[in-house]
Amino acid sequence: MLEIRNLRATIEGNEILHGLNLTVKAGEVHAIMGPNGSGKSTLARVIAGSEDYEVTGGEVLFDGENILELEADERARRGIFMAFQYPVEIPGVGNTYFLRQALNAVRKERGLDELSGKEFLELAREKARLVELPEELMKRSVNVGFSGGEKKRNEIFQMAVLEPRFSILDETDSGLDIDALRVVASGVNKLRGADRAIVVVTHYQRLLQHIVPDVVHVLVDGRIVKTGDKDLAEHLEEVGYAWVDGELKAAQAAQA
Amino acid sequence: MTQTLTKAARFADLLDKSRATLANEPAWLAERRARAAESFAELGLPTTRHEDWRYTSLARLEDAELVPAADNAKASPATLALAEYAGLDAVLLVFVDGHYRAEYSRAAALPAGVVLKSLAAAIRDGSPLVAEKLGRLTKPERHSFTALAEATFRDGFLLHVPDGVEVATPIHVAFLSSDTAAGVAASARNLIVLGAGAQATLIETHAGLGAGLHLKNVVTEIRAAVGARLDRIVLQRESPEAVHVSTTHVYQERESLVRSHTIDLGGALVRHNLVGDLDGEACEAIFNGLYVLRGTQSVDNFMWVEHRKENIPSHELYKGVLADKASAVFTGRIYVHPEAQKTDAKQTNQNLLLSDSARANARPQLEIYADDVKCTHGATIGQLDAAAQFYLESRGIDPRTARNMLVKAFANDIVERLEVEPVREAVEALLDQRLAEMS
Repeated sequence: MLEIRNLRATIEGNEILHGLNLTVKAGEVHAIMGPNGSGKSTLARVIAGSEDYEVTGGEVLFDGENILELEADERARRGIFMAFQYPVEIPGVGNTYFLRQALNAVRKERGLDELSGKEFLELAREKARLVELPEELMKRSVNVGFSGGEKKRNEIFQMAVLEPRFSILDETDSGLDIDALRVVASGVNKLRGADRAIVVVTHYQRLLQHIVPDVVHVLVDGRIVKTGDKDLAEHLEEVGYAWVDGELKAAQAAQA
Repeated sequence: MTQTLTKAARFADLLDKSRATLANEPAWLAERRARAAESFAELGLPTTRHEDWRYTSLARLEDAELVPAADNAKASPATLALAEYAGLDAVLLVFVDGHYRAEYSRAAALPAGVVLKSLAAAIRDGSPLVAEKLGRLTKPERHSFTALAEATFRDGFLLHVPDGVEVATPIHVAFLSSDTAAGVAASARNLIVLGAGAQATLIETHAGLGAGLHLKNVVTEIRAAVGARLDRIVLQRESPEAVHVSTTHVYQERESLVRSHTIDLGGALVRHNLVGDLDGEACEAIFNGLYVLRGTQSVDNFMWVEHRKENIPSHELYKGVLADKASAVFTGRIYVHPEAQKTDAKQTNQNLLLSDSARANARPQLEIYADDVKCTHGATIGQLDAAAQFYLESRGIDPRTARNMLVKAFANDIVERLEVEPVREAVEALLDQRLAEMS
């Protein structure tokens, strides 16, 4: 479904991703783990189409199409979704209004009829229950006055409404207490499906106890340096990223 | 030098022609007009060398050959439609090129004692209220456009709500420009007198469709006695080449409340002078505005608020959206007199620039002579929040729709405060239309 080939990306002239490769198949859940500054968020935001980054090389193929040539909104309408690490507050734009606009834009692309206000509300209510998002929050401005946990739940709520085929969750676990983590994870698990793929980006193994990945990658210094199954996450938790650093240096030394 | 004389001569011509059409006026008014004409001759039009006009040039007016408006210009159905708000049940007074037109107006029952009529008619009828109050707040000897209005106005409206009377029906006054308004200078004088405890809701529409430069110059005096309450909405959607100048003086007594919202969408060059004279303890003034401009439109809001007594809150929130080469000026002067302890003055001007060529100037000016006061002012000039824009787009919303959602959210801050629902809905629809037209 998603294939990243030798992706290089810079921000303000500094290269963050140094030739990253990743293949995610339909139905799979991948985890990308890595220390701070390794390029996890950059990867998520480059896939989503943030203009803060400049892609200097490589390709991101989604169903065989290089999405790097598409604008962020076009990618989203194709079925790509990023749950933001820091969801943006937008005063004056109602959560419900915003999401209905978004869903109808996505539906239009898929050749489906737009939903009326009433139809949308019914759908939204059902999906809000999935992440236990209080209905009252849907009436507020986008993310305004939401707690940290509510913002993260709102991201998964949006994902549930938009039903993207490929989702990348950028540190959705950060700032969540254990109960909120369980709610968010259970929401994500319900969105798993044979035609969907999810990439969970995280610093800690904690979330992966609730969202069990098929594949785990370790991202260090803008490259994926190790790939394994869910046991890799546990191993990493025990030995820490220093171990990966050591492996990386050893690998570089061997190359040189 | 020759050029200067020519410009002065042009306005002298306007004043002469105007004088020729004014006859049988009471002596007090004829004298005042003569003095005002002298003042105007002395003052001339302000130039950008004048501190209060630094960012707004009237050059286009100096080069125009303006004539007084005919009193029978036809208003087309499309023009008259500008005076309609779907679902608004209001009394309607229509003026075309500054002349009251009964045939386009619509009466409705008002409480006993309330006077709402053409000012010219009130003067003809020898209204003692007009003789006593008209011009008490204005300063034609110092302000060109006030002098011009005093010397040349033909009409305007008088609203008098006696003590204790609440007018539930909204009052709508529409100043329309005819399709043949090109080259016309129309001045109007309005007088609004609210007695103690009186209440009224006033909507003023300034609109036109015709091509060509014309000048609409409106001077309004508002007096709110003890405990009076006025809700006022001004919607300005003049034609693309119109020059619109308004001067509004608000005089407030104890515990009165005046809420004034001005929405600017039209005109080529617009200047609003708004003077608040807050002269009673615990009165409250709320002066808000919104301008959404494109092309080379410019709007200049010049506010002057004087706190003369204790315990007065005054709040001004002006928000602007500027596309293309549009420009806006906001000058907000708050003057707190030594007696005005416990003043709570807050002034905010926020501008959203949608293009690199749009310009905004904000000039807050505080003069405070009391020591126990809270005065704040803030001005921002910025662009759309890129993070918010990306967030919306990342959910599939196209860039233009995302921009419009953010702009509307910004403008809604003012729009949602318009308390007359049909007018609020009309403004929302006009904003949508304006945003759809913006590249």
